[in-house]
Amino acid sequence: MPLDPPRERESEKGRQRISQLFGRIGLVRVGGEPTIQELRRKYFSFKELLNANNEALRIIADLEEKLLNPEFLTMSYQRTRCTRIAVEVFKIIRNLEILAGRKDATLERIFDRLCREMEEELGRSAVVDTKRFVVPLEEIRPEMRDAVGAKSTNLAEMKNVLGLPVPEGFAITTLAYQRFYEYNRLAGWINSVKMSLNIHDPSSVRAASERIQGRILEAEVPQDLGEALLQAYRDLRRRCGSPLRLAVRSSALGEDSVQCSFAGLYESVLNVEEKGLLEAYKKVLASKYSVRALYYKANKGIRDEDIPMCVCCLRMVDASASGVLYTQDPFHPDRIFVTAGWGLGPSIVLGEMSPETYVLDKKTGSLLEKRRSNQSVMLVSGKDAGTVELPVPRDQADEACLNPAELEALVQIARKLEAHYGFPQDVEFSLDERGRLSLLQTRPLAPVRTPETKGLALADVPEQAVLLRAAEAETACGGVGSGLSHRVKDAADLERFPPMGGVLVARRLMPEWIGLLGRVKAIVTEVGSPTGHMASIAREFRVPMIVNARGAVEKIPEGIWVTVDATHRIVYRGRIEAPENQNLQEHGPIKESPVYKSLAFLVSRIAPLNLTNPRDRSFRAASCKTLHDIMRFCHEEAINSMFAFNDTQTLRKGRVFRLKIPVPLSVFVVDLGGGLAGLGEKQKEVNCDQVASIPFRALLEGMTTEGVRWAGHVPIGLRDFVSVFANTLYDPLKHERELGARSYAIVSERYVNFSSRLGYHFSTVDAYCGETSNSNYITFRFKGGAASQDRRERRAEFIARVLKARDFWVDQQGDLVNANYKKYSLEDTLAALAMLGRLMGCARQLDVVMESPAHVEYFANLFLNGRYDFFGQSGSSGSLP
Amino acid sequence: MTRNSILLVDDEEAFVRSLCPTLEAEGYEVAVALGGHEALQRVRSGSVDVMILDMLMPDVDGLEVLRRTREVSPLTEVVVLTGHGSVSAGLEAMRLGAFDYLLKPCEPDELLDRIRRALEKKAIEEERGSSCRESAQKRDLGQRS
Repeated sequence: MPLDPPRERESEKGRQRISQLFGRIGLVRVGGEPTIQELRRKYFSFKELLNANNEALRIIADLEEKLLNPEFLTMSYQRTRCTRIAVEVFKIIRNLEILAGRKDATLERIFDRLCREMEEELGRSAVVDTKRFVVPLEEIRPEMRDAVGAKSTNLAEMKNVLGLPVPEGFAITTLAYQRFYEYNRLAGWINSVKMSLNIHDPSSVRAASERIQGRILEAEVPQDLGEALLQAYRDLRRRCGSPLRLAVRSSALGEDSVQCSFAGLYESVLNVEEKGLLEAYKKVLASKYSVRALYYKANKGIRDEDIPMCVCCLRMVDASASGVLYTQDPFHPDRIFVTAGWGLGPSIVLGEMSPETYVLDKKTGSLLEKRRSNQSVMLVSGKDAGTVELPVPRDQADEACLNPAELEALVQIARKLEAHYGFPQDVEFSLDERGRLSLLQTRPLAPVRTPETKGLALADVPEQAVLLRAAEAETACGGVGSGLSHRVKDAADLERFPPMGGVLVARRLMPEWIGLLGRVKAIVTEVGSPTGHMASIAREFRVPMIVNARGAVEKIPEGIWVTVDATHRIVYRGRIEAPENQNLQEHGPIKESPVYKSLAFLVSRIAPLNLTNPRDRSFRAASCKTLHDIMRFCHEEAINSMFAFNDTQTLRKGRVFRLKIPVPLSVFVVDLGGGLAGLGEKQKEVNCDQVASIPFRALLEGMTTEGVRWAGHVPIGLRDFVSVFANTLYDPLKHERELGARSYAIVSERYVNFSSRLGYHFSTVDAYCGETSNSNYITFRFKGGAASQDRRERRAEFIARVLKARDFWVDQQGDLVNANYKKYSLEDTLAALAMLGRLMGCARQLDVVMESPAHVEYFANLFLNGRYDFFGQSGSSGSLP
Repeated sequence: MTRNSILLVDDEEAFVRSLCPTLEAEGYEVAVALGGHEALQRVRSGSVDVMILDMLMPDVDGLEVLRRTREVSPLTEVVVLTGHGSVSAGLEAMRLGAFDYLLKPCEPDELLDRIRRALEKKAIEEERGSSCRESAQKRDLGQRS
């Protein structure tokens, strides 16, 4: 943000007078008036400190949220966040030194110690960075997980460490991904498309997905990257022999983890040859933005920046049969579960048919159950690239895909894998014509605890109510769900799915159903398998699901109320109350994982705030225990330095003035030049009409609008108000003053930085009104509050809503709001500033009364309709919901 | 009015070339150095207002380039932009006088913002430097008479 141009500097004469008065070179004598250069330098440091503080607060909010929702955690995430926040806090300390004119050894010592501790923790789980675009599987080690992705790492482990049959191949790294993205300048563009996406509107999601995927597919693979990929292909071909076909699959960071499988959501491109390799790579990268992936990420709260996409290329196995091995049946811990079908894997895992299933005893390996499949078509590699659907030959259709020897081999593999990982695995495998087994993927399989088998009191339900009880049906995810039945044949039916929810009945499940998460109460399909991707996802989101229920579509009429008992695989007509705890609990070892524990440790050194009250005696450098404490301490010290509050002499002689303003705020003003006008000689207080700063005038106009009440007791009638504070005569304002509430404004003719820290919350307005629209901007930040977390968040939502309605760009995270309004005309910018002034006044004590989400909407509407007097003089506030 | 000059220092040529148009569009004069030695030469010979510096380069360690730049040309502000950060590496660079330490990938807007701030700082330090000299001159004059 540029300072005002030279002509606004102090006159030559003035400067001479000052330097004559003080003699000393460049220094400001204690008690003397600072030169304008000194002031500018101080102010620059002050702003740098504030910016660094804001950035650090954002990182803290991010880390705290990660602790609550730890899905998708990687070491590289932790390392980057810690590095960034360490740098920001360093800048805070450095700039405070400039402001205060001295170093604080205690502060530095504590900061160094905290950083050392973080570094040690991060070093414990070292991440090997790679400078390579491609890494052959044989060279992958476990520490490279964040460079090559989980799929490649797991495959490498099976191959290199366990000696299991994994095809040759190579991984394409995060470095390659970054290179591709930076070269095509994709990140910023994608973010802007995603910001305009409305996740609740299917057509908006589809449109955004198409745009982004299209852009990625059209993008160019930079030459060095392209060369590296083709070279890797050629090297592999030399080793394996011609012709070489590849399976190109995603290996995103965090994919294939316990809490997040992303099962089947990314694209695999099969049977790829040299000339199709770059295109296949782009396709897999683009699949990160498929409609289903977008829904999945939205539902899991996953952000793009944290999941770079790596890709895994394996030599294609000419599979005569493929399948999935669960080393432990999710519903029966003493069993191994295998599914298989003819041809390549996708038909099985995508749930397009019902595969053969084998249930084996985990201890003895003996076959307990076997079921035939209904497979009629299979997927095979085409002669040229790609795959082709062919009917299953008659003689094969009658045979079992796996013979006893092959099953035995799978049992051995299951045992080896569990012994190694200590955790059940979901394994994809293939058999070639000669019966040679290849493993194509492994990932952790979250075991689920089944509900009590007594389940629904079956005796109580009349037999006439049973709509469907299919013998061969299987439980993909247990539990009970009920709602209106809705048959889905195609995508159009999906879009017509009732908004209040229902039971999805289909022949087979399309991946797009993920868009209905939250609305689907249960699912019944005629084909599919518990090992399919759709089943994995149903379990992740705990949607009761029955698969392989032949005749379901015919037997379950459209639009009637049904109850699905997925545990017992029965569908009833009508709404039947299920006893408590019918739905599955997942064992989530995620919080026991080393990665999570590492995060918890790091956050403990960063986020907790111990220094809350500046007036308290313990508010000193030595009391800082975390980076957040250091930030808070420095912030306070910086304000004191900037305004020399502690040095009354300087205050008298300095360029700091108190603003006389008809709202209950203490506002101090610093003039950088041209911000105030018409001041008398000895004046220490200024009136609003002496403010010459254009943006500040607008802000003040808003703040002093008739009807906007900054003060005031929130009416005692609201019971929560009383419950929040012990005494009925509590005066929040008095409390705030006691906490050292102060506001300050730094102004010049075209600029204002207004910051209000009111005890528990702070808000900042930074604005510039230039010669052209292009240089106009407003930045607004708001955080905190006195009430509970959810009330503070609602107030933040209220603010976010109002700002969005007034064309601000807004980012709200918890109780932190960041917003800006850039490049609008002078008129619009000034109007927006006035609106902000009113908003700050109205929002001031709102957190206390934000009882419910409905309050957010209520107050937002009041404000947007120009009704600022929320609580009214008479104490009646209209009808609150 | 002369344009501000930015020196990009990074051994990944393609990365550097992709950043040039963004900077030029902001009105900066952009130069490129693919190695540390070249970078230091430019610093010694011409005026570099802001340096964008990668840490991992084959010929000279980035930290060394940073250290010498700060010695030779203290008014040149250095923004580190590296793909391989760590807490200790970041702090070390900051202690050697880097203006900021950013991790790749970095949004172009964020980088531009840091460059603007670095230029502002440079202007303030220059101003301060020249007013110091002026005061010294006046004082000398005053003492002589």
